[in-house]
Amino acid sequence: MEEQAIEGLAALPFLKLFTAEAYYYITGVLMLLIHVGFLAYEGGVARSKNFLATMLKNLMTVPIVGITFFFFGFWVYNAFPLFPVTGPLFGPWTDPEALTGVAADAYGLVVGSYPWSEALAPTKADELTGVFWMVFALFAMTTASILSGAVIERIQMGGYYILAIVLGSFCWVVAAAWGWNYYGWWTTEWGWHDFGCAVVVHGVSGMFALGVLINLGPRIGRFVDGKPQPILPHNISLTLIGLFLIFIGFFFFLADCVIFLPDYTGLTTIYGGPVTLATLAMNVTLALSAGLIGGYLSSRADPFLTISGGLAGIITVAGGLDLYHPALVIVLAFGGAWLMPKCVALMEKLGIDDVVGAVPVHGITGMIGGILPGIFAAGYIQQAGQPPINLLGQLGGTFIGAILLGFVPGYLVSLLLKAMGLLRVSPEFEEEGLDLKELGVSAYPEQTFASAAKA
Amino acid sequence: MGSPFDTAEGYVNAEGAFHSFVGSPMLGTICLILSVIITLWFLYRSFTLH
Repeated sequence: MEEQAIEGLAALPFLKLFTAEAYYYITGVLMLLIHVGFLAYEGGVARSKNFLATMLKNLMTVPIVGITFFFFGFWVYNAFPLFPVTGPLFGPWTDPEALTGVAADAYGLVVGSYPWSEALAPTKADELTGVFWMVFALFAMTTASILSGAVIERIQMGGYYILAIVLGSFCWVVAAAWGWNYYGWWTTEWGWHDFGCAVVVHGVSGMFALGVLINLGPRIGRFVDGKPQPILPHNISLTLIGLFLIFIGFFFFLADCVIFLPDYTGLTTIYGGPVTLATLAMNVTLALSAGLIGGYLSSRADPFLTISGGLAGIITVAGGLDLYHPALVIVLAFGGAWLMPKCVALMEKLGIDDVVGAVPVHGITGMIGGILPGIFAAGYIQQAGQPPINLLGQLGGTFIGAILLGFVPGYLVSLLLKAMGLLRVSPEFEEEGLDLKELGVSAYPEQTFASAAKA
Repeated sequence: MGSPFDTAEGYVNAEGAFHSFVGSPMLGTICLILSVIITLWFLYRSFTLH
């Protein structure tokens, strides 16, 4: 009996490690549902002539961002938290002996983030960095997928891949290093709080998409004499199911915003504050519900905007999800989702063809979600010596994230691609459809043959 | 509305409720009433929207 108890105690460190490892592994894999959802969502929104090309473009976001995130994205996350305000940019050039205090602590994570690091290879010395890498890589893919939907039916695949790399493996990662990192200077200097990545993921990617859309221009026929013309989804059922899969994936995304390490005595946020899965269960479910109602009422029961309201609701409260009372979540999520269709209408008025509403759903509500903790969760001091969560800090991080790391690079890189003729497909390709022109196949060959026979 | 804690230690080591309405329960009540109004509005509009 005593021997068994001793053996059990000996297994305890392994079980503690395995619990954390398995938590991130399982929730990380289930986060892939976001990508299944984006695939279906975008495919359904596209016209039938662009169905396969749209899905393929979205699918290839996974490898192009996954591999470049391995090459340099994970390093960027660990290298940038202090730079350029509270410490140096870390890299192979850094002399660890010269580092002291916080810089020395932060540098410990950098050595495990290079593509040649032992921590990312098979080793018994580190069983957690690999699962963290996977979760971060999936965050990165999500970020790029947000751009993907906005630009469908006229962007060149290569041009999109370059934009996806810039956004998914660099821009949002810098925002995450500064604003979603224990050592990030937005938090240590400004008291920044963004539990569920409202700005860091959604604000950055939504506003990056806006920058790209300005240079990309609308689809042929979307605006006639400046007046918007409807281009309807070819399969709204697929779109609705896709968005529901995204909802499920986001439950896991937000579960992966929780930090849970083997020696912890409780769950924490990335900033070190307390959080519980029960809080997430309550608040995410209510945000989704209130968001759907907000989208429904605001859009007068438009199916596409109603279901997009669910996502807008979650994103509106994502920043302070860990600290908001459930009743507050309902009010805020409803408000954010109610505003979203108004922003969609405004985009139309401005002549911007954002096919899936990425800018209103992710960009605008992401920015709102980043600012709200400065009002509704002000005053929390996340670590000794740091300023409390405050409105000015939230405004500052939101501006840097959504505008300087989102809109500006999106605009500039797409402008460069446009100048090089790498951004948009030819009008001939666009008119005839990308499936046949780019891929040489049709998703609906029977219809193609029937049309040809009629002609 | 805001943090019920004066220090980082109080917040990080919180044992009980730590949401931002702990110190102002009236705001929680107001939000709850607003939530009910939103729900009733939704129900009413579901008959008149279509």
